[in-house]
Amino acid sequence: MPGTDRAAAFGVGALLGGRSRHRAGRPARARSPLGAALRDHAGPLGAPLAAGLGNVAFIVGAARLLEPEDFAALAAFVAAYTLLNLPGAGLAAAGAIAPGRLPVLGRKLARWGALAGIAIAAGAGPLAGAVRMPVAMVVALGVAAPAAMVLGLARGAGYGEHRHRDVARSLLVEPAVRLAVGLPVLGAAGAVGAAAVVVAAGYLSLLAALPMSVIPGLAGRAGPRRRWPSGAGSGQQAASGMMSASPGDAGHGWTSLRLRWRSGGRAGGLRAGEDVTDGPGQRDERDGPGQWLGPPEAAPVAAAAAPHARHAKYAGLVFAAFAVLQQQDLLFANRQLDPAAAGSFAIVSTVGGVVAFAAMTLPLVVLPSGGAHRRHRVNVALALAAVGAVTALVIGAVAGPGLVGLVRGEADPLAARLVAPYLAGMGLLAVARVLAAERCAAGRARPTAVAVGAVAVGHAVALALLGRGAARVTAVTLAAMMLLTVVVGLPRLARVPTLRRALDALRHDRSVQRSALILAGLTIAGLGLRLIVVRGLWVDEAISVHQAHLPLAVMLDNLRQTDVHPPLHHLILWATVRAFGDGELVVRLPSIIAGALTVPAVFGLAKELFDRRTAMLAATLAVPAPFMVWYSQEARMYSLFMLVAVLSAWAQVAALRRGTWSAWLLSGICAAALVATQWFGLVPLAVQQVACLVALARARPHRARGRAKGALQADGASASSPGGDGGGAQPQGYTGLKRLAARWAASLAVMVVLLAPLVPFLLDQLAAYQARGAGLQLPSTAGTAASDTGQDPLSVYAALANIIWATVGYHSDQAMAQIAALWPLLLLGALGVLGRKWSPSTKLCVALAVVPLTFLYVLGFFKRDLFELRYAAGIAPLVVILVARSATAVARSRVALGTVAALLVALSFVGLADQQTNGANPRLYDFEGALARAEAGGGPDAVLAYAPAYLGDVIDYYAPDMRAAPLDEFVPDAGTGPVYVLVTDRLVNDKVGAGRVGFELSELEKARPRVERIERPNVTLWELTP
Amino acid sequence: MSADCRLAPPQWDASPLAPRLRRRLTVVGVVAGLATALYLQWLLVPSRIGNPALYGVLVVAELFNVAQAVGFWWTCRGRRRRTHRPLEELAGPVAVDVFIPVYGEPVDVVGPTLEAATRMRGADVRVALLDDGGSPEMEALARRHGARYLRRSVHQGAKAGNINHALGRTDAPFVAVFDCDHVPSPAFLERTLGHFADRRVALVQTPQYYANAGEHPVASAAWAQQSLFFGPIARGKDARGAMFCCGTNMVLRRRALEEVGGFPEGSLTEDFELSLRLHEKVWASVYVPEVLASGLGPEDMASYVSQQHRWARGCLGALPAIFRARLPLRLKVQYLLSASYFLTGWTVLVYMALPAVRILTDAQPLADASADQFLVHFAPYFGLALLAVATASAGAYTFAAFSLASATAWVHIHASLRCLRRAPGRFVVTPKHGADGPQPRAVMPALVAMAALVAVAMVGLARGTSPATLNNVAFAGLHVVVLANGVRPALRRLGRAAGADAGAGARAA
Repeated sequence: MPGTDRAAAFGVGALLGGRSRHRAGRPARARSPLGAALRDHAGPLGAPLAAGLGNVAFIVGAARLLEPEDFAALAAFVAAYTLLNLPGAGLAAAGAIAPGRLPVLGRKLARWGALAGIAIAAGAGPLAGAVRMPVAMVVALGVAAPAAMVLGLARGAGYGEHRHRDVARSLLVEPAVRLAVGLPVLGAAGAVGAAAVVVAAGYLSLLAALPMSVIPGLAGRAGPRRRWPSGAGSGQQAASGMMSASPGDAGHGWTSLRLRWRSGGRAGGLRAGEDVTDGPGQRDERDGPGQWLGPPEAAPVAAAAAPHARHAKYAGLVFAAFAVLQQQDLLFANRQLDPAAAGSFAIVSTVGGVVAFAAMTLPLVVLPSGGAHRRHRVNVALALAAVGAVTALVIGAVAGPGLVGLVRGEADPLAARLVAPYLAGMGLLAVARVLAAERCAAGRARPTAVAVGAVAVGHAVALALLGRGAARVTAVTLAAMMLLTVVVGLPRLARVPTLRRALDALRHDRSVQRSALILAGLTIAGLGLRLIVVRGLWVDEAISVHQAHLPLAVMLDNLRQTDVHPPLHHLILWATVRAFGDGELVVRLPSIIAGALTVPAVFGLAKELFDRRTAMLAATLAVPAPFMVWYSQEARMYSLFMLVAVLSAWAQVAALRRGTWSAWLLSGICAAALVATQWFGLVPLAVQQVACLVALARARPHRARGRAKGALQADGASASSPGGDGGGAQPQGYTGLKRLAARWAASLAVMVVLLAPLVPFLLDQLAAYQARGAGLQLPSTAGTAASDTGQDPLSVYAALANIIWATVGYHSDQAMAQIAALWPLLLLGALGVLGRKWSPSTKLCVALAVVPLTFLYVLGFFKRDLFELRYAAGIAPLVVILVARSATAVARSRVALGTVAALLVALSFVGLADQQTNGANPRLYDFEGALARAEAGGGPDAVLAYAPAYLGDVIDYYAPDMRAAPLDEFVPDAGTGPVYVLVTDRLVNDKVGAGRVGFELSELEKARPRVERIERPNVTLWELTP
Repeated sequence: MSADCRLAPPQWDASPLAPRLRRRLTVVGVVAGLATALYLQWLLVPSRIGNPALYGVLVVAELFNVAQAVGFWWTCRGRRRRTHRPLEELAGPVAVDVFIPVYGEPVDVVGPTLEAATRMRGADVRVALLDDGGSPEMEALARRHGARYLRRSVHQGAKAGNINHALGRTDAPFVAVFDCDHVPSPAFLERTLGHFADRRVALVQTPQYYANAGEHPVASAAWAQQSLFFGPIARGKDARGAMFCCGTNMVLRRRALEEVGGFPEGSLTEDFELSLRLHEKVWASVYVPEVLASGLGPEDMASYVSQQHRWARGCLGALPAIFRARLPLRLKVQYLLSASYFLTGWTVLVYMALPAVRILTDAQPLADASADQFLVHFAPYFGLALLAVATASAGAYTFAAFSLASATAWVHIHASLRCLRRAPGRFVVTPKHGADGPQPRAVMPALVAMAALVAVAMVGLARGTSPATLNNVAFAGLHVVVLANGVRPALRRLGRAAGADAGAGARAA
């Protein structure tokens, strides 16, 4: 993000260095976190904000005036310039511990800067080749080094000494010079000239800060100090830190860090709210942070106060690593991409920087420095950061191309495609930054530094190894930001009561440790199994990928008009395609990940419903479950559907049992996600709501008093929720009933609110569906007519086939007939449950497995194509859980259970192997192989005719360069090239379809009599040559 | 377990189904009836006839089962809420002779029964130990508990003869009979005698509860079968006025007994035939759905087979008498249903044989019927029938009970063949203690059937894996699994704990 302050938005000062926001002697007054923060920072916000906007204007101007490759070089230069600021920023942090050492540090830094500058200038030739910049630009970087390395320290000192006017001047000078001089120079001297102006602006900015800075001899010239109102100190620095517009501002404000012992925390840790030092030399609170008021000889002692110094050092490293994370992709892109792509990426980075700048500002302003509102302010900051991240993504998705056009001045398709994931990455960066700041404030700077540093190093390595295209660089950056967010967010997640209890159990309970280890192994095994994809995309997937390539608004409109599914998976796929491209594995990645995550989710639900033994067996069976593996490898929504169905049921059962507000709200969110993934999710959702009604009925006071509990809600009806939100306890009687009803209603309300925007979407789809002839003439859903269920009359065999598919996967027609013939063995199931008491958990599980399929079966009598197991894919994990439950109920001993489990797993693997490898699997369409054959054998003159017409998307995917047309519209030219005819076997096996194809083939044969028929799984290719 | 399980409170409630369950049973019954009708209308079509002989056998088997199912439904639908009738309804003080027939049973089994019998309240209780074994220990036991000790010099008529002998030496107006392993509750007479205020009542029967059901797999499965009978069936029979005497845990009116000439001594199921005669003489029977005595079920397979064989022989042997009996149709049908139940084994044989015949000879009973057609018509009928049984028994009837019945279905065949040959029966007292070791001989026919089915399935798979063959192999597999589950208790060492033994418990007590 050249030209904008990516590195400066640290905000850690706000957490570490805050002074009380209450005036001395004035009682604390309750203020809203956001309002308090804004009031605190209203004053100091102006200059950094203006500087930020100025720098944005400069970089946008540069993007418009320069050619892409020149702009890429300039952007890389500014990124490198920003990185040069990091030492100054780090030392500013050290200066916070011992302000008296700042002059010494400043001198040292100046010397190091000069040496670095000389070294860079001397090695400009080789360096220029390495980073692919003009030599002159590298020389300019060397010239800039002395000033850049000191600038951060100078501004930090200015903040620490409350010389805000100087700092503001320094901040404003830089963009002013860049705009006033740099832009005109751009036109005349190009990127190198602009780089020179950036260097000059840096020096001028330093000069503006110097009179009152750490340089000996100038410090005494400090003018009258103007202080922001008391209480604004640290917040001001934080705000400035976030808002300062110069890349050189990275880390400023560190001089004001006022580190405090963590109260009651771990030894050596630091936390806002307690002073580091005591006794002689301690700082005067009223004089603001960063000012050493004790005897000079005490300063080194304070600086040597090991824990504090280390903390500051690691905190500095954390945010230096953030700066590196932000900048290095640009450098790698400029080095490794072709100039045009590098230019596009620079544009993306610019847009990303602008949006990220906006997204990060408010959360970091809100970040607290301690006091009564600390916890709330952290939460508000995090919420704001999350909103910022989502907003960034939405902006990228909706207005990304427009923003690119605005910055670039013309359309840039590559940049337009990449801007959304990049903005998502920047949004995550904002969240990660807030999380990291909070961790540092909690005295956990060292592990945070290690974690963030590791991610930064990994990011660099990945960029070096994988960053061979703009899309890949974007993908690597997004992945790094995701990882970063997870890494710095995990500790906070671990503070959630439920997770904390789980972690405690994990720490202390060996059986839990063993289970966790096994579950992790199963999840990895599940992921591995799902990554072994042995088939190409089929029609539905290709249609989805085609849709995902459309601009977001267009895609949504396309879905509204031509599809029959809700948009959640498409949105994920859309983002995935933009982030990671459209490779076969990539477009299936969301499904693969969802499929792998379904394994632990199945464990969780089964454990919630039954016991650990059942849960472990269910998770084991979920790993190779053929149906689940199949849809985990399909770029459609069904894998996500399975995952969300399990999560939704789990959340609901947990809510009924624990009764906490958070559990109920989570249940509402999961329910909404279920419907947003698949409209038929409404069916299991209805089952769940009926279960809630039953629980409500059982919670009636007269029941609660007298009868033994057995309902799902039973535990929740009487048991409290230790460690919950305080609302977990559900006393008997009307109070319990009212609580349950209220929370259920709240859960429903959340669901309704979340789903409300989808209502018009659904109505539009229904209208379009009707207009298409309700699916009778056209495939009602993408590729449905290509599925093997076709329009055959609905029979019991169809139901049986679906049950077989759900349990042992897809197989050839012959195998299906054989398996179906084994139906008498199902009678054993009926006999096995004879006399067994069904627990409410079992009843719920059975209902969730049976009702959706039955619903579809009945619906199928009215509309044949709707009876498709995948529309009820959510039942598959429930079936697995039921099988596991049956096994554990029947096999009591360990040996018996082991034997049964081994048999079931073996059966699953056999089914999986046949499903995945048997070419006679009716769901296996080898378009990839057929089209590869056509492309390889046909040469440039080859043309392709295909039927049915909806194969267009799959042909576009696998043979985008081949001339192709639907068979009905195909007009063979008089050329001598071969003609290929690609037809699905389903069409060939249909009387009418076969007749049509036969007619067209006979017409083609007149000019090209030599015909070769090539059979691929469920696809036939004819090669006709003269 | 250190105490005698019979002394623990019963874990089963024989009282009528809750209204909710009754409603459910009604719905299930109606739907099951529709499914049955659907199946029959599909089956009984001329075009469906494959091999005529096999078809005929199949139809007979199915019609028999349907008749049993309809009869079961009709019986269970009967509803009569028995209210407790206090003793005061009887005029004046009442004397009751309590008979406990024994024939070589262990003293530790009989002791608690005798002791509990002497503690019964509500009447002038005169306990008599009817010892057909001539055991001095029994005599000492009777003396110890203040009971009369009656011993015959001529042993004829088995249990019936023993009781008749005692009837001649006692004179109380009412007679209670307990098998020697059934420990009565002190309130037994208080809960039963009041019903004799109705002068038409000759018999008051109570459930035969197996207290050892939780300790032995065979006893457990046998109890699941018993609970179905003493639950919905016995309540239904009571509502139809057709409850019959079950040999123990009952009170009889002496006058009624004398009128029919005492217990019939020529039958293996003297109780069943006694009821028939009482009903012929227009006496009434009452069933009190309340566990008032706790007994021991058969603890091993040999005991169970022996018991089932005796019941089958007796009931099937009574069929001619039922046909001849001058009873209201309602009662006659009820008796026929009960007695003909012991022909069920033949249907099991048919169902097991058909897949084997199909695999070995390609002959099959049905034509013009695909596997999925059969599935759609048969599966709902089968599943709903099971559901109806499960609902009626309130979950007491289990897979173990079903498979035990299947594994001992040969007993029905054997018994009916002996009946046809008019071979003389022998009254064998059900052993009160189970054997510890495996008893393969007790289930040998089932083992042979399993081996045959497995062999046939292997032959079928070797010949080919067409869906039709696989369908029949699956049916064979289904039977094998059911049989295997049924014979399992007979093939394993029980590892009986000392405390699990009622006798040991009694000694410890």
